[in-house]
Amino acid sequence: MNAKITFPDLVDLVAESTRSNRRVSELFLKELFATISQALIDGDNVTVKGLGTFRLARVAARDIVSVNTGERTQVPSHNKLVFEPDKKLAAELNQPFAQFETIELDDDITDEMLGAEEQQPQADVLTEPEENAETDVEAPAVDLPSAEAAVAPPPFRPAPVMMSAQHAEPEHEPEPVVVPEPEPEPEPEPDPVVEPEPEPEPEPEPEPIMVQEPESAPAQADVYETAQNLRRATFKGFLMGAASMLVLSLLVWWLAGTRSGQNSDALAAGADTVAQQQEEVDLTAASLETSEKAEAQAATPAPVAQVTDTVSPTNYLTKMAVKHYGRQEFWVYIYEENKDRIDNPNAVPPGTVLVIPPAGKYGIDATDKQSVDQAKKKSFELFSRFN
Amino acid sequence: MDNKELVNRISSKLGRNKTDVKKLLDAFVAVVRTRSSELDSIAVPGFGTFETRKRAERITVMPGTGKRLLVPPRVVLSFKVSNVLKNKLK
Repeated sequence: MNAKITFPDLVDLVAESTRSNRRVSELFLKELFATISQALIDGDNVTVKGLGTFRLARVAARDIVSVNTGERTQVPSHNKLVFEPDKKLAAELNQPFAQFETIELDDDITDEMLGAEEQQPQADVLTEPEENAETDVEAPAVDLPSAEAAVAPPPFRPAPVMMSAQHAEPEHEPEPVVVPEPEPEPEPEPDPVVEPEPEPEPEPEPEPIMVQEPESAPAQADVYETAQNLRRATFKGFLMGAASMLVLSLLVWWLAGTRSGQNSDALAAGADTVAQQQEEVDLTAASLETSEKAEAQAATPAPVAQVTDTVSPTNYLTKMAVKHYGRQEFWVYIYEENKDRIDNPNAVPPGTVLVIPPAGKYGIDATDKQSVDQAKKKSFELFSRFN
Repeated sequence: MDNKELVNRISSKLGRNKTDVKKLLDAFVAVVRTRSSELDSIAVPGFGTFETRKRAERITVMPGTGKRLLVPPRVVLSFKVSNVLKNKLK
C-alpha cells in the first residue's frame, strides 16, 4: 500500500515472476525503457499491451506573465509526453468505484442538500474499499454462510458482521465505533483469534490461516453480496446489537492484529484435530461471554465512549469527516485531535487509528455555515503549512 | 510502435529470442498491474513514475444546458515523466 517501488525492486519482482535471474531482468528492463524513450524521441508512439500508450502531444507556444515582476515571457512550443492507460487496466484499477455512475443533479437541490447528497455515494464507497483494504475483516467473511445473513441474531454475530455494521453506520449514527476502554483486558490472548467465529461454524481451523491471505476476486464478489444482505438485515432490526458487536469484533481483531500477530500464525500452523476440540470448547465459552457483554453494552452504552476510525487507502481524513460529521471540511478537527499521530495530513499512513472527537468539542455543525467556514479557513491554514 | 515491434526491437538489441522477451515484458506489465492496484508507485529512473491516484468525486456543470452532474470518484493510473526524458522530448 502506497509503497514506492524503486528500480532494483522492480528488477527483483520481474525476475521473480519469470523465474529468471536478476541480470536478465535488469538488462531487459533497461533496454525496455531505453527503447521506449528512443522511440518517443524519434517521434513515435509506443503501445505496450496491457499497460497503455505513450505518445507525444504538441503544446503550443504561449505567453506567461511573471506574478512578481509583471514581466512577459514566452514559453516556446514543445512536446509533452502523454500516457494513456490500457482500457482494461484502467477498469481493473477503478474496480472499487466501478458501480458508480455520473448522476444528474436536480435543479432544486441546494448547496445545503449537497452535503447530504455527497454523503450518500461515499457511504457506499466505503463498502468496497473495505473489502480491498482490510484483509483481516473480509477473510473470515468469505466463509460466512449466507443463511446467517438472513437470520443474524445479534448476540452471536461474529466478526463478519462487522462489515454490515460498518456499512450501516454512515447512514445511521455517527458514532457506532465506540471503543470502551476496559473492554480489551478481559479477553484472553489466544482467544481473540478464534473468538469471532460464529458458533455454528463447522470448521474454525482454516480461519486463522486465511486471515493472512488476500482474497480472490470471486470471493470478493460474494463478500459484497453478503455484505449487502447483512446491511439490509441490519436496517430491519438489530442496530444496537450490531453496533455493540462491531465494537467487540473491532477490539478482537485489533488485538489479534497487533498483540498476537505471531500467535495467530502459530495457532494456524499448529492447528490440528487434537487442538480442534479444545478450541471448540473455548469458542463456545468465549462467544457466550461475548454475547453477554454485547447485551450489557447494548443496554447501557458507555458514557465515556471514544469514537475511533482507522485510516485506509480509501478511508482518509475527509472521508471520515463526511462519515462522522456530514461534511468533508471538518477533517481539520480530526487532524487537530490526532496531531501527535499525524505528521502530514495529506499522507496519513494506512492503519493509523484516529480518535474522532465529539462534534460538540469543536462546535462542529454541518448545517451551520459559520462552522463550515471556520473549518475551511482552518484547512487553508493547514494546507499552506503542508503544501 | 506496437507491442510486437517493441518486442522485436528489444530482442534484436539484447540478442535474446522473442518468446523470452515477450515473457519478460508480460511479467513487467503484470507487476505494474498488481502493484498499482495496491496503490503502490513504481519509479524508473530516467524514465518516469507509474502512480495510482485517487480522483475525488466532483460536481461539474454542463456548459450547454447548465445541468449539474455529480461525477463519482475514480482511481486512475498516472504516469509522470522524469525530467531527463521530458527535456529530451521537448
